Amino acid sequence: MLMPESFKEYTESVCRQLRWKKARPVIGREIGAHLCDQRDALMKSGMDEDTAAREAIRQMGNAVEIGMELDRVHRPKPQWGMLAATAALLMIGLLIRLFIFNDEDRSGLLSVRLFYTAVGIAVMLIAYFLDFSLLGKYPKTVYFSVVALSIAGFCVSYTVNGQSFYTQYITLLFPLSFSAIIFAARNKGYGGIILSGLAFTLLAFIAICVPSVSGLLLFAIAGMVLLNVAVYRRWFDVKRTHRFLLMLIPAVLLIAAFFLFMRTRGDHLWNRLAVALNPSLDPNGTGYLGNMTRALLSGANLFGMGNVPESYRTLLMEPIDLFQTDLILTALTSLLGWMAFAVIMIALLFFILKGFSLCFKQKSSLGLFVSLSIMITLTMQVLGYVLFNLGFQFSAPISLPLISFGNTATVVNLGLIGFMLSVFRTGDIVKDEPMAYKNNKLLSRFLSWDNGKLTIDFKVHERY
Amino acid sequence: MAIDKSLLSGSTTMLVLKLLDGQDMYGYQMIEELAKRSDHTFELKAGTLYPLLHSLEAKELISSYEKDEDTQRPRRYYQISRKGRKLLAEKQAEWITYSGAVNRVMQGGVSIADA
Repeated sequence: MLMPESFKEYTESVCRQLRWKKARPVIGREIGAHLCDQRDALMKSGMDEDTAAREAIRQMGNAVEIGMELDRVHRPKPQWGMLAATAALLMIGLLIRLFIFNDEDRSGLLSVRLFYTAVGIAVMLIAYFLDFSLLGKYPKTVYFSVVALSIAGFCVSYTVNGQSFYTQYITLLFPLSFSAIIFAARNKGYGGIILSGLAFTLLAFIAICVPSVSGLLLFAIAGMVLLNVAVYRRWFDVKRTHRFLLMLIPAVLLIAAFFLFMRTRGDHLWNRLAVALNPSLDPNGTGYLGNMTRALLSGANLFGMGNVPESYRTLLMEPIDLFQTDLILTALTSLLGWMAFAVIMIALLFFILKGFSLCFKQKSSLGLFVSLSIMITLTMQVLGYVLFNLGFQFSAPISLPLISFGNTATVVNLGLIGFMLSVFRTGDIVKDEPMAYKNNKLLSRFLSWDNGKLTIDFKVHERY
Repeated sequence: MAIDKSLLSGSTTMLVLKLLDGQDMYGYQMIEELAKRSDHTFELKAGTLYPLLHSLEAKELISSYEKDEDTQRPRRYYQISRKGRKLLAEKQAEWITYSGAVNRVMQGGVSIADA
């Protein structure tokens, strides 16, 4: 039976009272279904359709009053706590720039940093007010836009140490775009898994072409976590025994990709690992920075400047990019003491813990996936950076989000944070859409048995 | 018997949580079930129920999901959370104490349970 015009008008006038427009369709559907249930029950008790519809509306009550009551409950949740934490991290980054590494000869760098921080904040605010459910509506467009952006990155970017400079930061968008593909592939059984696998492989291949070990590691681990969460939540309708095997696939892919990657660079995975653990194995080559980092840290005090070995003194005092980009934590610990390290870690830890706890409060699968992919991207950057700064230098870090020097990284990370906060802000009202009708349900709509009567219904049905 | 609305309003949350304690339900079903279990003493209005359900969800006492069953319309089902069960237990204990006391006063010192 179709929904009568009067019900549509009623639900519309309830929904008009809701200032938060995103909440309207969800509530409209619920009120509409209730009116139809009520009308059907009244018709069963002998009323004709029109009277039943009028009575259902009467029993429901005043539309405007209900709408106003619902409006009081449904408001977007501004994320002041997370916004404040983001601002605090940005401020820490700027203060470090201003007071620790500000060299008068290169004061232009400070204004560049300020300019890109402003750009980043603008990007964050735009993302904050974006509708994240668009990612669920256009997953392939999002995915291929990121792929296209990477290709554009290869074309226009200059190279630093053999890396396509801008493209390495585009790898930060890989987990997010991959999460959109997993979301699109859900309920598609084995086909969905194959689709996810292909999407994963293409992005991993791009990270290898950059080449960015950190970008690849970050994406591979994020992809692995996301796929496992999807499998665990039974997004792919497959057998229980197969589910466990599926969880192993990304791990196997990751290791295979890594070996391939290392071979193309003429590097050896085990050598790299050995030097990361013990930089003295190659003190003048790949272990040089590791040795320096460890020497600076072992001389650091709790408060104040530590003991800096003579050979590194000039290097540390010069405001060189190396310390501001890749080794800011080591430099601060050496110059100001472990307290500085602790303060930054506490601020980051607060952000990470709060972020993950909000992720798992999401009601929609899409909300969970989008926010989780961004939180993993941020956390993996922090983890990689901290390990590097503590002297375990397997691969050059991407950035310490919002703190270390790096304009592109700051803008990309702020954009990601803004998008994540948009999930936290509006995620409450976004619910998973009910699954589409399966074919066998069509039969039960065509043929139904009720109260001794067999009904064969030839009408094309609209919902309600 | 129709009863004074104010008597119901204070305990609606408890009744709704109690209904959901047994099984997940959608709004219309809850109104029907409440009327049935109370012998039509409690006629909960939809206009009261939905704002209440939505505010209970905002307080994380219940959660909801949409589901299509054999019917043609998608329904929003509500499910009680662990936090909701805890509140229900508290409210129920409070209610037993309160109703016992009211009964004792109204019956001149003899509670219905004792009688």
